[in-house]
Parts: sequence; C-alpha cells; structure tokens
Amino acid sequence: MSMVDRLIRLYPRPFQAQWGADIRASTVRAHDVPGLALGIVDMWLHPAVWPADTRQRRLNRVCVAAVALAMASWLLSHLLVETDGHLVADATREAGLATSAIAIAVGAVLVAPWPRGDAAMVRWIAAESVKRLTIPGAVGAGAALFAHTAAASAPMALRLVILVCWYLAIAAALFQTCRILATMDPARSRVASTARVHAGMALLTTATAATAAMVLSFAATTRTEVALPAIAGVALAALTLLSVSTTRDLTMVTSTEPPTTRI
Amino acid sequence: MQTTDAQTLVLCALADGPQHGYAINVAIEQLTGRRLGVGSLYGALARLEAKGLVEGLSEQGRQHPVRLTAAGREVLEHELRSMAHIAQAGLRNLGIGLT
Repeated sequence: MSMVDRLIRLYPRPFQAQWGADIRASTVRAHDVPGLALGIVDMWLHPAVWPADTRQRRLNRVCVAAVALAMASWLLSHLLVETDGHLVADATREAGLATSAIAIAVGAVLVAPWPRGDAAMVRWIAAESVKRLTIPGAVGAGAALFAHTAAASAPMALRLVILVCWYLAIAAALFQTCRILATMDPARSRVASTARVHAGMALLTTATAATAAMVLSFAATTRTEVALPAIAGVALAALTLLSVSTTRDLTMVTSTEPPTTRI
Repeated sequence: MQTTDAQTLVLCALADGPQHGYAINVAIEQLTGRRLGVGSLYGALARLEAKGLVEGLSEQGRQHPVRLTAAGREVLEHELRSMAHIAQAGLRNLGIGLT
C-alpha cells in the first residue's frame, strides 16, 4: 500500500467512502501530499461537512464533536488542578475553575444526543458500554485500588506509572463514550432542540475560554513551575477556537435561511 | 461574500457542467493560473454538498462527478454579481472603466 493510500485511510470513513478514489487520483497527479494531510485534519475538525444522507445525521455528528470538546476541556483542567496545587491555592481561582468545570459539564449535557428509552436501544447501549468501557474501567479501578492500599509504600517511579495509567484510563473512557454516542443510530436517538444545542455550545465555549484565561493568567504570573500550566492554557485556548468553529458548523447545519444566504 | 474563495471557484468550474474533482481543479487552474490544494478542493466540495449547493451523480468508474444544484446556481450568480459590483466600483474609483 502506498503512502497516499495510507494517508487516505486516515480520513473519516464516510468522507473516505465518497471521495477516496477521487482524492487518490488528484493527489497522485498533483503530487500534493501536504495538501492531503491538511485535508485530513480539516475533515476531522469539521464532522458537519462529512457526507450524510440526512440533516439529523450531520447534527448528530456536530453534537458528538461538541461533547468530545467538552470532555477534552474538562479532562485538561481536571488534570491541571489535580497535579498543580499552586493553581488552586487562590480561593477565587479555585472557585472560578470549579464553576467553569460545572458549566462545561452542563454544556455537554445540553448538546449531547440522548438514546430513546426503548428496550432494544437500552440493550445496545449496555452491550456497547461493556465492550468499550470494560478495559478503561478495569485499569481505572486498579489504579484507584493501588492508590488506596499500596501507594504509600511504593517507589516513586511506580506511583508515577500508576498515575499515568489513571489519567489514560479516564481519557480512554471519555473517548469510548464519544464513540458510543457517535455510533448510536440517529433514528433511535433524540438530538436536542436547536435552541438547546446552541445554548449548550455557547455555555461550553464561554466556560472553556474562561478556563483557558484563568490558566494562562496563572502561567503568566506564577513564580512556580510554568511549563505545564502554559501548555495546558494554550491547549485550552485551542479547544476554545475549536468550540467556536464547531458553533459555526452548527449554525450551517441548523440554518433555515434561503440558500443564497445559507453559508 | 457568501462563500469562501475555494468554494466560489469550485462553483464557477461546475457552472460549465458536471465534473469530477481532478477536472474541477484543472478548470480552476485554467481560470486562475493555479490549482487548489487537494485538501482545499475536497474540503470545498464537501462543504458545498453539505449546504446543498452541489450534488453527486452516479459514479463514473471509481470517480465521483458532481454538478451544481439549482440553489448552487443561485448562490453562484449572487456571488458573481456581488464581485462584479465590487470590481466595477473599485475600477471606477481608480478612474478605470470596464472594457
């Protein structure tokens, strides 16, 4: 398999199925591998434009992307708060970060597509949860057990490894939850109303921006270790920009204006 | 302006009739002197399809020709009229008449 074929396989599957052969022909003729790589990133950041047979499916994809952004923002700020005690030494900042975390969670709940409560759907969710969440759940439970029983007497290196496993387990569980939401049959799920999804996105974007601002201002003024808060602050700022871009995609998908102004 | 430059160029190329991606880029090169990057071209096509401005035809071989929809034609006309209006005003301000 050529490098171009390997790269094309990195496109989201619906996009690859529709445009894969065309993209391959164009890339080989134009020798445009950098353009191909940029296109892959672009498509992963904009699930609203992937080929879809219904508007509902596009909306569902935007909502799942928003939930993924919320989870990434929450995980990043949680990791920072847990590992950098100086960040929450200031009571105002601690309250601000806690409020933002709650707002991010509320935003995620508002935008998330929810399964309908029929028996078949409940069985499907249960089966998917077992399949996708068992390993992260077991790793997380193992790490928690270690922290409560053997951590005090364990060597520093082992404690560090277990801590990394703990966060990887959380990240994997969040990622797999997004996959469950993404593969849920749109016909058997309930996407929130347009107004509710827009409200959720606004809350999510504002809370992520506020978290980024608090973390970056801390990084700019602290006299302690600055690298981690600076990197996390920049990542949170990037997540804010992605939230803004997802909001624009949402506007495109939900717009009811006539075609001439529907961009 | 209603569409991005890449999307407008793709709509312009498709005004001549249905084409697949590579042929669209060749038409754009003939129009502007340079091609779009592969990512920009297919990103623009996907966005236009999401907005209902272009639609796929049945596949020719492994490639996927697309054509303008009625809404796409309307948006393109609107875009080109705005551009012509801006060009006319700009040239008038420069003291240059359109030939």
